[in-house]
Amino acid sequence: MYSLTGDEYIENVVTAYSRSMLNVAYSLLKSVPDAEDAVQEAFLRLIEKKPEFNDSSHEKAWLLRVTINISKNMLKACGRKSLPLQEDIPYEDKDSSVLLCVMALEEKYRTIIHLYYYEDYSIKEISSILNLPQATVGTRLSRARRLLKTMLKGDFDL
Amino acid sequence: MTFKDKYKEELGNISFRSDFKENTVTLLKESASRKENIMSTNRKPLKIAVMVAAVIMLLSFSVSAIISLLSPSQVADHFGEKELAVFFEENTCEVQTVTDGYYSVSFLGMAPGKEMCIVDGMEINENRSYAVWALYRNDGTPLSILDGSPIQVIPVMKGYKPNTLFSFGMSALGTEKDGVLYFLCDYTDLEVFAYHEVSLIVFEGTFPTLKILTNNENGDVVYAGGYEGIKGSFTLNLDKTKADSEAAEKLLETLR
Repeated sequence: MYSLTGDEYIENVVTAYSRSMLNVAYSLLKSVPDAEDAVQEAFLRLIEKKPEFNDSSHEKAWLLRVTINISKNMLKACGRKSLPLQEDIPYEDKDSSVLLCVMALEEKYRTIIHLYYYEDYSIKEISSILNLPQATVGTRLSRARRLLKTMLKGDFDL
Repeated sequence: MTFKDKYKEELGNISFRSDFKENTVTLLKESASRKENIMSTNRKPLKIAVMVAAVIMLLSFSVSAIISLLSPSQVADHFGEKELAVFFEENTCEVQTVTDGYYSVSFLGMAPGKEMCIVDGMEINENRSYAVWALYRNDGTPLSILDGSPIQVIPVMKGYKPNTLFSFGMSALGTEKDGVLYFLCDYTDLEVFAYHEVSLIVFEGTFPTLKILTNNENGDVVYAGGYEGIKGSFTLNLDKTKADSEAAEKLLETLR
């Protein structure tokens, strides 16, 4: 079991997981400041709740799940289902085509695409993180891929 | 380049604040330090309470040697409340147990509906609070959901009649596993009452009559003198920042 005490732990966990958490929050919120807020809130919950972890992968999955939930709640709180993209992504099509296409997907597809392609989680692991049946994850992944293929005009093999 | 590689590359180009990690570490250290200070300043006044709690924990420990309780996440999952199960898994709560006579009542956790990620089709209501309980015999004799009188777990407030918030408990799901009874109860959002002292109290019966619950001279809700059923009471640590006297009074008005 991990020991969740001390300044050293805080420094280690922030260093180890910040970027992953920021990326998944950004994939949902499409805003750098909002993503930073969501991730800091997730870390605060870690310190407050002190859950027990079996290993680092369990720890990371917990943090990603909490970040996703916080991000979804932020979307819901402001009635935001479809956010305009902030001026974070360069709009030159060639350099940002894939990210723009992913961001154009519905939130339920973006999350799964992100966890599958960016974090390299399996369908089973994604199912556990999102608390969805594996069949649902598989279906959504399949649909998301079809949508992306259409948008990317076959430029990439998904 | 593959889709995966391109996606990672483009996402990697998104710039977050350069001082984000440093800022976050500072924030977390300050939060952890504040929490520790609160605990240490509270230690003296809580000496007596800690001694009492230690006795209860000893009794609970001897019972838990016989009985292993489900977690609130497992209870919620059993009832098909996946979102609650996830919430309880992510938000662990110290189990509080009160032992009285033959029985023990354990308060396993409470979840505010507002903190759920509401998914279309789920039953969770953001204006409700959800509590998980366990009831068991201290000698390990199995209980059945059909045993005895109905068991109620209702919110009560100091200074108010015991039945004031009775109708705020809308439903309770009960189940049994390994001789332990588990309850998942939902209530009208109790956090608006956080400016009062709010407790959850257990009793045997259909309605909190004066033969079961009453107020003492301090306004506390207590068990009536002749009541001999199951007992258990837990003060809720409601988030005072969410207290809303106006909303609370409106809710109480609907009951008058």
